[in-house]
Order: sequence, then C-alpha cells, then structure tokens
Amino acid sequence: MSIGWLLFRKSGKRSIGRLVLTASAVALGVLMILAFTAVVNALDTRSAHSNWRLDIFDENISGKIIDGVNPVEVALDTRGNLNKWRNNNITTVSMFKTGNNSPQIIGMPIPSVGEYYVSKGLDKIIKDNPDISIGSRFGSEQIGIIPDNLLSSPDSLEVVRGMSQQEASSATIHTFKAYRFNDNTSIRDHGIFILMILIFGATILLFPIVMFVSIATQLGSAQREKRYAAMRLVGATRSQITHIMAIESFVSAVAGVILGSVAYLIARVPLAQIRFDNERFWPNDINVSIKQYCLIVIITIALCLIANWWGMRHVQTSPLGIARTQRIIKNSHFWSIIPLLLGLSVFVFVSTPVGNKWFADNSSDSMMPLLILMVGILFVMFGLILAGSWLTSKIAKLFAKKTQRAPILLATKRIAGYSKQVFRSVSGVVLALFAGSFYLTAVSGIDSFYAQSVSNNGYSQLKSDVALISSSDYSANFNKKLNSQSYVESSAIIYELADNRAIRCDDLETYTDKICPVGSKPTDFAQINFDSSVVKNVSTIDSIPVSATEDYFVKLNTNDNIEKLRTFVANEAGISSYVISGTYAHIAIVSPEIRELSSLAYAGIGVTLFVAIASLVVSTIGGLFERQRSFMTLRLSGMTVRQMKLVVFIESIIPLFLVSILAAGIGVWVGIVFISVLSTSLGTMLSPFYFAIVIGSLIIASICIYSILPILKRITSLEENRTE
Amino acid sequence: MSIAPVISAHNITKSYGRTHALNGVSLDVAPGEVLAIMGPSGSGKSTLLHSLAAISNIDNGEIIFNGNRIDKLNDNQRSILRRTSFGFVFQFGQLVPELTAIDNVVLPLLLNGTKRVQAYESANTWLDKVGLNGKENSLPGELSGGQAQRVAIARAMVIKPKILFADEPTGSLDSLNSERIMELFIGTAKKYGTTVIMVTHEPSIAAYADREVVVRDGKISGVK
Ligand SMILES: Nc1ncnc2c1ncn2[C@@H]1O[C@H](COP(=O)(O)OP(=O)(O)OP(=O)(O)O)[C@@H](O)[C@H]1O
Ligand SMILES: [Mg+2]
Repeated sequence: MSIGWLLFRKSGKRSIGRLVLTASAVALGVLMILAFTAVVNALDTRSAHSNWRLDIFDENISGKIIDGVNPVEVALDTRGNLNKWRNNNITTVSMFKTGNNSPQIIGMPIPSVGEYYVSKGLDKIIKDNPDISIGSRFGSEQIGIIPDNLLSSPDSLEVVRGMSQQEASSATIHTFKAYRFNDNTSIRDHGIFILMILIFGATILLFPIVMFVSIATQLGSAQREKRYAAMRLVGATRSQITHIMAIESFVSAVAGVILGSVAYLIARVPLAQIRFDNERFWPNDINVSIKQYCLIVIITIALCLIANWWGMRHVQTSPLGIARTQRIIKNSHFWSIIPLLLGLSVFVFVSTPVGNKWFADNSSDSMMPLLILMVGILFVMFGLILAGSWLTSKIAKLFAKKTQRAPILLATKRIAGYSKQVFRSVSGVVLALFAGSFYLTAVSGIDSFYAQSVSNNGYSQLKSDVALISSSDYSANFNKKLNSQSYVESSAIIYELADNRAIRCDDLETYTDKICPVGSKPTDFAQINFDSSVVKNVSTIDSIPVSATEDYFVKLNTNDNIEKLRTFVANEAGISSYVISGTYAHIAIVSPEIRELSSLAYAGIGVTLFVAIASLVVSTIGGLFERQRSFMTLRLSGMTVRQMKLVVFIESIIPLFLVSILAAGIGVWVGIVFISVLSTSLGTMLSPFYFAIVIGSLIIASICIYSILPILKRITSLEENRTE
Repeated sequence: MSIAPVISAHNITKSYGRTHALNGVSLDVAPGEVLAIMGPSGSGKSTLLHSLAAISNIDNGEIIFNGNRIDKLNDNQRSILRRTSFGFVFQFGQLVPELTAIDNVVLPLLLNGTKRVQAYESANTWLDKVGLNGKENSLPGELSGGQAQRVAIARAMVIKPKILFADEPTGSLDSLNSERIMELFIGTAKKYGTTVIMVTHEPSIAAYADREVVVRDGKISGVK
C-alpha cells in the first residue's frame, strides 16, 4: 500500500465532511450530465422511431422504383382536419396496396380498405371515450396496435389506415409510391446547429457544478496547507504530496460517480414521465450508451483531479510553510473585462438604428448576422464570468471609500482583496441568470409572435362553441341528421362564394362576433372571409349566386362535443372534411418545442440556482473556518459577534446581489435586442414567474447565509481554539 | 578544529528583497556538538537555521554536510536528505493536525520506505522514551503544548538523524515545562550522539549548549 493511501485512510476520517461534500457535488454533476445525455439520446431515438414513416416520402429510399414490386400508395394526413383529438393532430398514414407483391412493414401488415391500426396513446383515448367512436373516422375495423418501435412516444397519436383505390386516386390527396419500407431505426446525425445548442446547454448546466466541485475541493485548504508543509518538513517530496492530494480527490470523485450513477438510475423513472413536445419518452429510450457512460465517468474524474490541482496549485508545499506563509493573491486585471465589452458592443451596435437596419437587411439571405449575434452572446456570457472578479473588486473598493462603518469597511476590503474567491462562489449564479434571462426574454418575444397569430387567424371571428363544417361530399339529408344530434344547439347554412363566404344576417350574430351594418335586412347576406386575417366590418349582398356550395355553421352545447361532431362528419361527409372550432381558433398556437424549451429553461435556471446557492453556502462556511484565527483576533480586540455577523453577511450578499442583478439585467437586455433584430413588431414580456424565481432565489440565498452565521460565535469562543 | 565538522557554512548570504537576512555567515559544527544560535529578533537566526537545513535556498556561499555540498541540491534530493539525516523541532505547528501522535512519528519512517510493522514498533518505542505512553492515539489538538513538543522530538529522533534542528523549541512553553523538554531533548541527543543546532533567545535554554554563537544583522558577531 502506498503511503498516499495510508495517509488518506489515516486522515480521511478527520476530513470526512469535506470529502462527502466533494463527492455530493460530483454526484450532482454526474447525475445532471447523465440525465441530460439520456434525454438527448431519448430525443434522438424518438425521431428514429419515425424513420419508417418519414422515409416513405424520400425519393431515394422508398421512392426508388424496384422492378416487379407493386408499390404501396401512401398519403400522409388526410385532406381534411378530422384527424384531430381536441387541439392535437393525429398523424394519419393512409395506404393502398397496388398488388400482391407489395412491400411490408415488419410487425404491421399493410391494412386493406376499412382496416386501421392505432397507436397506444390513441387506443387509450378510444377506449376511454367509447361514445365518440373516434376509430370510425378512419375505417370500420381496428385490426391492431402500431408496434412500439414504430412510434415516437407512448403518447403519440397515430393512425395507419387502409384506403380504397378511389380515395388514393382522388385529386384532393397526394400519394407517394413506396417500393420498400425502411425498417432501420438508427439515429441520424445532428445538424451542427442542434449540436451547438446541446453543447451550449450542457456547458451552462455543468459550469456551476464544476465551480461547486472546485469550491468543495478547496475547502480547508489552509489546514491542508499546514499539513502538507509539515509532511514536507519531515522529508516528503513534492510528488509525494501531489500523489496524496490526487488520491483524495480521486476517492471523492469515484464516490461521487457511484453516487451520481445510482441517483441517475433512480431518476430514470421520473424522467420517463417528463413530457417533451407534449409526449413522454419510451422508458427504454432514456438511456446512455456504455461508451457515453465511460466517457462521462472519465471526464468527470479528470475534471475533479484538475479542479483539485487547480485549486491547490497556489497552496504552498514548501517545508517552510509551517513557519512562513507567502501566499500571493493576484487580482484580476482590467483586460479581463474586454471580452464582455466586445460582446456587449455587438448588442449596442445592433440597438442603434444603423446596426439594426444592417442586421435586418442582411438576416434574410445570410447566416452572418445570426452567427455574429451568437458569438456576441457567448462573449457576453463568458465575459461576465471573466470580468466578474474585476467588477466585484472595483465596486467593493468604491463602497470601501464611501463608508464610515467598520463592519462594512472590513467586508468591502475583504471583497476587494479576495475578489477572485468571492466571485467564484457566485459565478454559477451569473451564468444561470444570464443564460436564463436571455433565453426567457427571447422566447417571450417569440411567444408574442404566436399570440399575434390569433388575430391573423380569420377563424377567431367564430364564437366559442361554434364549429364550421366544410366538405365536398355531404351525405343525403346531412343537415337533418346534423340537427338531430343531441349536442347540436343550432345550425345554419353558410355559402361558399368565389373568394368569400356568406351567411344570412340574422344568423351572423349567433355564430360570429360580427354584426351586419345598420340598415341591412335580416334576409341579407353578410360576406365574411375566414381565410385571411380578422376584419372589422362586414359588407352585405342581397342574394346568393346559384353556383354557391353549402356548408354549415353549428353551435354546440359545449366545445368538448367537437369530438362527437368530428366523428359524425367523418361518417356523413368523409374523412376529407373540415370541422373548424371557434374555441380552438382563439388559442394562440405556441410551438410545443418552444413551450417545452421554456420549461426546460426554467428547470435549468432552478437547478443551477440551487447548485449556485449550495456552493455559496459551502464556500461561506469554508471561508469562516479558514479565517477562524482572524475572527478570533477581531473578537479579542473588541468586535462583537453581531458586528462580525454583519461583516460576513455583507461580504456574501453584496457580490451575490450585484452580480445577479447585473447578469439578469444584461441577459434581459440582450434578449430584447436579439428579438428586435428578428422582427420589429415582436414585443418581449417576462412572466411574473421569472421574477419570482430570481427574487425568490436571492431571498433564499440570503436566508441560507443568515442561518449559517451563528457558526461565528462558536468558532470564536475561546475553548474551541486550542492549537496543538 | 581537529575533527572534521559534520556541517559547515562558508560565507553564506541571503536577502529577501532589500532585507539582507544573512550577510556572510561562516560556521562549523562538530559531530555531537550542541550549538545554540542566539541574537535579537529579526537578526537572521531562523533564516540561518533554515539555510543550514537546506529548507531554504541561499544566494551565495556554500553549505557542506558530511563532506558534500547541499546548497545546490534539487528539491527532491533535499527532501530525501531531510528524511534520512535531519530532524526538526520547531516552536509549534510542525505536526500534521489530522494524524494521531503515533502516525505523526511514523510518518518520516514510512516516507523512507520502512516496513509498516517495523515503523510502528520504533515509533512506539520513541513515544515511550519521550514519556507519552498512552497518548499514541491522541490528535495534536488534544495534546498539551509540552506533549506536542515531545511528539515532535520523538518524530525528529525516530529516524536517528545526524543533526537535530530546533527553532525556539520551548518558545510556547512555561519555564518548568521548558526545562523538562530541554532535558529530554539534550539528554536524548547526547545519548545518541546527535548534533544539535538550536535557535533561541533565552539564555537559560542556551545554557544547555556546548557553544553559543550570536547573530546580529545577519552576521555572526560573537562566539561563547
Ligand atoms: N519570507 C520572508 N520574506 C521577507 N522577509 C523575510 C522572510 N523571512 C524572513 N524575513 C526577514 O529576514 C530577517 C531575518 O528574519 P529571521 O526570521 O531569520 O529572524 P530571527 O532572528 O529568527 O527573528 P526572531 O527571533 O524574531 O524569530 C527579518 O528582517 C525578516 O523580516
Ligand atoms: Mg526566528
């Protein structure tokens, strides 16, 4: 057994607290990176599950003519919009076999006309709502469930149905001829853009953790310095000391990796419940490969060793350390804020009229502006980290000059003198707040873009609970049957004109939010167009041309019965019909990806703030113990515990608050400028939730710091201070 | 001097920036001799001791131990020299705080590659010799100042050093304790024929020495 191990075993008990802390920090990091990787993998496999369906429309895969094979004609989604459940699409694949020698899909023979398969998610909905008979929209007989490996999620809503030759050849649908089906569900490479976003996300997630680990490994470095010096005195070589340090961080890293891996295995269960794009993952898809796992473990352990070495590199391992100290604290230079200034200058330029015009003019036909903005964001982000300690020390010095009170003077002097350490403990907050604020501001801009789309959607002129039915294939007595449905309160005929629709004036108010102009008769017809954006007033005509086709307005007793109506229309007017809901037309279409990414961003901010607060608390406690002697001296020279508490409180809180406000402020501003480039009409609005998170975490951090202050009393009491 | 000195310094100088801590010091120490280095505070006593023990570098001059120059050794060679030939007793702070008394004593032996069983055996014997029977498993923080110094003496002696370096070994103790420690310290050194070089500013401690040199402004200004 090497002496390093021996010493580790002998002294490990005494430093168990620190080791446990380091291990937990590592574990948290491993857990987060494993979970992140697993979710990215799951997203990849998710889309790979749909390879078979997507490749049907690829000329080079399924479309290539194979002699002797009778292709399957495939149409994606029906012409109408009855393939919906509430406000969600049911992906519908319609198939027609052109002959006996047709390609097959493993596990799912091609359905004949009337037959259909449904996904698990849809099957559950069908079974839960027998009175709606959703299946009858797609065919007459459900012949099975789409195999799991062909589905992106247990929640995905999909149908594979057989269609008739007549439907396949109808002019209104577009079919592809598939000569073979791709059953290769392997993952495709990411585009470079996605890859960059992933790396970006991982960095933001990992940075606070790395900081936390490095803070934890540096705890008690004063004591350890003494210990190493004592060992050097009796003849330990430098490399023996390095070896001892390495063993310590290695052990805590390995313990952390094991802990983190176990936590990850447990976390896979709740991870499978997370909805991304409104759908859960297949539990088996949430996985990391052996290769990825090994890589993560090796990188983690290497990072720990490096963090430890980096943290302890200034530790004096000279045998003289016990008699003399010569710690040199280098403070940051002015140049450390140059990257930040560079990054900010991009956004300052963009916010000037000239810059804004340049970016707006060039962004449509070149990637350059976007690239510049991205680089600008990176510069601002890492510039904040680099500049942080310089800014902290400058601001502290400013305070120190102004104040008359001893505690504030002491606190600000300390911040100014040790700005690197002080800033390091809050740097995780900086990154989290900047990235989060930027992202959420930008997303709120995009959200408002979609919100505008409500007024762009002409169907939002329909009243709630009203549906517009449109088809070219109504069965006989359709109107009569429609009115005999229990959920239909009333209906009216709406005429389709050349480029308009018309409805009788006395019906107009029942179904839409418009009224006919003053002076028009109830028998006049209001002209209204739903395909363009909302209009203020309608014009009238007094008769309908004979060529006009008839469609229907329906008022439902509740919008939930839209499902029954859809099924009814599918059966009575064909799958290629439309049922457009006024209720849904009032809901802004927010891209599910954006919504999911927002909640991910909130989760990310939450986790990083948690880690950041943890490292702040840990480094504060560590700092207290490290400075025990000087606090003793202060107390002996007449400072009260209250005053010392104030010193420590100010020391930790001032940098945290300043830096958080700065980071969040810059993040929001950059977000606003960023969005202003994309569109001049987009507004940004941060949700109250955002402010709650930021202010809440600052308050929590303050409470945490406040609650550890009583340690001061203990460590400065005389009987606690026996030295050897 | 008729016998060859075990360690000698020739005209050594050392400065910290503009402070000339050592200003041309020459000194011979005979084997088995107990030498006291005296002088006012800040005169360069500790600096001289550290230089002789090859803990800190000198600017000029040479230091010869057992006929070999040691001022030019590299860091590793010095470590090995310390663990095989030198023992140290300082005012305080030289014990590893996380290790028990016995582990502290055993440390230099283990660094030297001594087998564990054997190392613990001799460590135990030495703790007995300094009168710390029963305190083997105490941490430095749980020992009195005098007890801690005894551990330091045991640790210094356990490797059977050629030279024992001491810097104010009783600086943190009261006079009764100081006397006991000095008796143990000098007694043991004499018994094993170990050379002792100790820094002190107390005449009563210096009285234990065979010879006293006085350092003033980085120079030896007198020999008693
Ligand atoms: N690491 C150092 N950096 C700068 N100056 C130093 C350093 N170590 C010692 N000095 C200076 O060198 C001079 C000699 O110091 P030294 O410690 O040898 O004195 P001393 O005789 O041991 O004093 P004391 O009796 O108070 O221990 C002093 O002026 C001291 O300030
Ligand atoms: Mg001294």
